[in-house]
Amino acid sequence: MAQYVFSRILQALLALWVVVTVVFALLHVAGDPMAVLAPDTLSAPERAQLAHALGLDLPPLVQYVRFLGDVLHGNLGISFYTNEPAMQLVLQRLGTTVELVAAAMVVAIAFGVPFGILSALRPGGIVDRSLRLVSVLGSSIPTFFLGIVLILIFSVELTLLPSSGLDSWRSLVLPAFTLAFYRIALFTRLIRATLVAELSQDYVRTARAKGLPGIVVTIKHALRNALLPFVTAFGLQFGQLLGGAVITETIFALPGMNRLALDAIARLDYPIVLSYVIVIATLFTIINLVVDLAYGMLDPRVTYG
Amino acid sequence: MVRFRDLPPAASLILAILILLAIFAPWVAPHPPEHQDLLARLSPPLSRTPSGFYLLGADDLGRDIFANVVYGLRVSLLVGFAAVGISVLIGTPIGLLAGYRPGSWFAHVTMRMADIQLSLPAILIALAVLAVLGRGLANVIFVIGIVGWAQYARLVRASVLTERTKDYVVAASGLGASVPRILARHILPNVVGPSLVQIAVDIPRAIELEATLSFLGLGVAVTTPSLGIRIAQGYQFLFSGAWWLAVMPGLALVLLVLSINLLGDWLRDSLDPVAQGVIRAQRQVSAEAV
Repeated sequence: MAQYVFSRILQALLALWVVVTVVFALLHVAGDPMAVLAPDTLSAPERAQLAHALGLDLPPLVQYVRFLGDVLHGNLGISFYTNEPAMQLVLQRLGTTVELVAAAMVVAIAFGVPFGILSALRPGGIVDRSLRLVSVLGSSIPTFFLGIVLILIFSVELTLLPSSGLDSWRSLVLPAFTLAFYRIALFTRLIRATLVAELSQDYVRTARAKGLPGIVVTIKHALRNALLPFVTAFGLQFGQLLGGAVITETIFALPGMNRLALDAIARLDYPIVLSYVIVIATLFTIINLVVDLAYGMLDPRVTYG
Repeated sequence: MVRFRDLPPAASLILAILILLAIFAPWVAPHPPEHQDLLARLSPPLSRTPSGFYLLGADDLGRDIFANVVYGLRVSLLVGFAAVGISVLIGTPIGLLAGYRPGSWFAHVTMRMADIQLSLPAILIALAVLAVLGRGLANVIFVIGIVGWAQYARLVRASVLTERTKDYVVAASGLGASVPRILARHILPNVVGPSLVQIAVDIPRAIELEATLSFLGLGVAVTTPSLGIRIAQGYQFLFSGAWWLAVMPGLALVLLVLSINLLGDWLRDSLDPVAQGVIRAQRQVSAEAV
């Protein structure tokens, strides 16, 4: 086990190193870094001075080693737009994005799991068929349009919830539901499929035969095992959630890091884009590592050979 | 209660209508999409003005929303088919080669790349590439096409892995057929099935991605009548009560994506004998449980 954890952490660090190297290569091979890092308004002597200050006149290998050092120190340059350290700007916005993604995940689980159980109790029944219809609908509404419809209903017509900004937990309700909607459909289908399979297992029949009530068997025995693939889905969904958060943060004007990155892309503010890519890659790696390890803890049959 | 067997026919009908509207857009639309009629500004749906009838209303510049929707459907369908076509054209040859020579460096490199590609959200990759390339219809089609190759490479590779040991391949190889010939003439026709289902899943996804990218301002040019751009423009008027500016193009988008998704679902169920077996088994189990 300890050996597995160690090798997984090593793999994760390796993956991060690859991402950082690719970013370096993109900046230095695909184009002149000065064109990316220096504003066009600089004169020739100023450019030379900046190149020297940034170490861009050094041999590529030396630059690469320096770049790795900078990344380790979280030093990825100054935003062209606000003149603040880019990494610091991104990390300031990280909290809002994490709140949004976490809230969406809670909503998706709070609805998806019970819906999945209800569907699995009677496959082909009215509840199952209605939920299946809703889940096809759920996967057909683009996130940005769902956000608009929710704003129209709950902010414009009913004036129940705020449509933009982040003042209190109420500001997170609509964005969280917008982001969670597709996930609710997905989790419903996932739980339904695995739970139906578990309910036909021998241990379920044994539990029923010894007289346990059906609901206890379903929740206490079968659901536990049906939740396993769910853990993997959670890890995979994290990346998708971040992608969806770009849209949600834009529509609801939330000050998250995805919105910052989107604005930075539009303004060609490369230090911010770079910092964002590295933060995302780090988050990905950590989440995947945690999911892999959690899987083994939840299912004793999984061995780390 | 809606019956599921009624859904595929209904979906085909809706999709057929939407495709016909898109094809015959110049004849169906009462005005060109960019035509402005300032007297009709912000007319609600079904309004009659001196200049004509506005089925879905008019926007803040007096442009006919119905005209913009049918021309927008053109853009959506074009992007959907063209982008997925690119994905298939890139992914299939890679999958064929990687499956036929599973131990080769080519297979290792391409499958590792596919893993990385699939672990990143498509929209983030598309945004980053479009930031470098700039916006435009051709760039959007290209980016969405590139982002989708990995699924096809994997699906085709998986099928080729089982096909390559079969007698007909060994026979063709023994008769001296070249590798390209074996792959294209013999193996390819036997491995396209799973890709068909994937195409049905990917076309609505590509349509959604284009609309999203255009909505975020990094997709097609503002002058292109994309549904995503029209929704973004209408979004500004949400709070002034003119809901139809954003909702009408949005509903068209949802109808298009939903009808293709329903057909795709049906296609998957009817093409996949394993899934059918599982459904039947599940019905039996549930019948026993009850």
